[in-house]
Amino acid sequence: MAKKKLIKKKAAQKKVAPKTTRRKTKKASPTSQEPIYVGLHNSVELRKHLLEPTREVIQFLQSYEQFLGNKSEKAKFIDQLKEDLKLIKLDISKLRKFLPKNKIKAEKASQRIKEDIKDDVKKHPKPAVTSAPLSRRTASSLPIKTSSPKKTPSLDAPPTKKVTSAPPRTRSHPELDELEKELGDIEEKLGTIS
Amino acid sequence: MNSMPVFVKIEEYEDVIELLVSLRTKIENAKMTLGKINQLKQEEDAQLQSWKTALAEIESRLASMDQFLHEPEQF
Repeated sequence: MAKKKLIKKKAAQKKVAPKTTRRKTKKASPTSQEPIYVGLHNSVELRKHLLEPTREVIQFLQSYEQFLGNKSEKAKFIDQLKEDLKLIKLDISKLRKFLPKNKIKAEKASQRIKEDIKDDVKKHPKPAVTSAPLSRRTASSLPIKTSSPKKTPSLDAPPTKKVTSAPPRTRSHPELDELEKELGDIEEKLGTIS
Repeated sequence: MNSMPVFVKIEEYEDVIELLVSLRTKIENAKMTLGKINQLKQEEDAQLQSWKTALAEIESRLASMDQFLHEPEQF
């Protein structure tokens, strides 16, 4: 029974594989093995063209090794620079600790100025005539500017347009606010200095 | 107010001076390393440029070879 089954299987395999394909393969194999000869004009030049790029590629590889060395050296230097900058930053923070804080001093100075002005006002009171217009007064007679000149509009001057104040910005960045505050402080200090 | 001298109280004055000296030396070191990095970068750039030219040359040679092989002599 087993022998019969094997024979049937072999017959089925024979039926499945077509005969035409076998023939084609047999024909194709001798043609692919045939060598093809190509004639070249300048074989020496061609060989030269082939050898020179290979030499250049080898030089490439050599220079690439150098390049890698340079790169690692550069990385080392960059790390060194980072460390140096960190140390510099630390030193600057130390220096800040040693030096006095500008903010407090500036505030004190401004307070002192204000106190001096108050003392001066107390010592030298204003003249009794206060109804005179501001334009007639001389600059020397004015010890302090108590009110801004914008608040007293002159009659001669043409009416100026009121500058509409910009809408309040939505402040979502606290860092920005801090920076603005610091900038304001610095400007204030500069104003006191000049 | 402008002409008045300003006195700043500095405690540990010598320490501050030493710190300033060390800061100066560190800044000099940083400058030197930066210079070295810059030099290496320039070398790298020069190397890259030479590779670029060499590659272009190789490409042209290969193109000529390609021409040779694709257009063989006909008998």
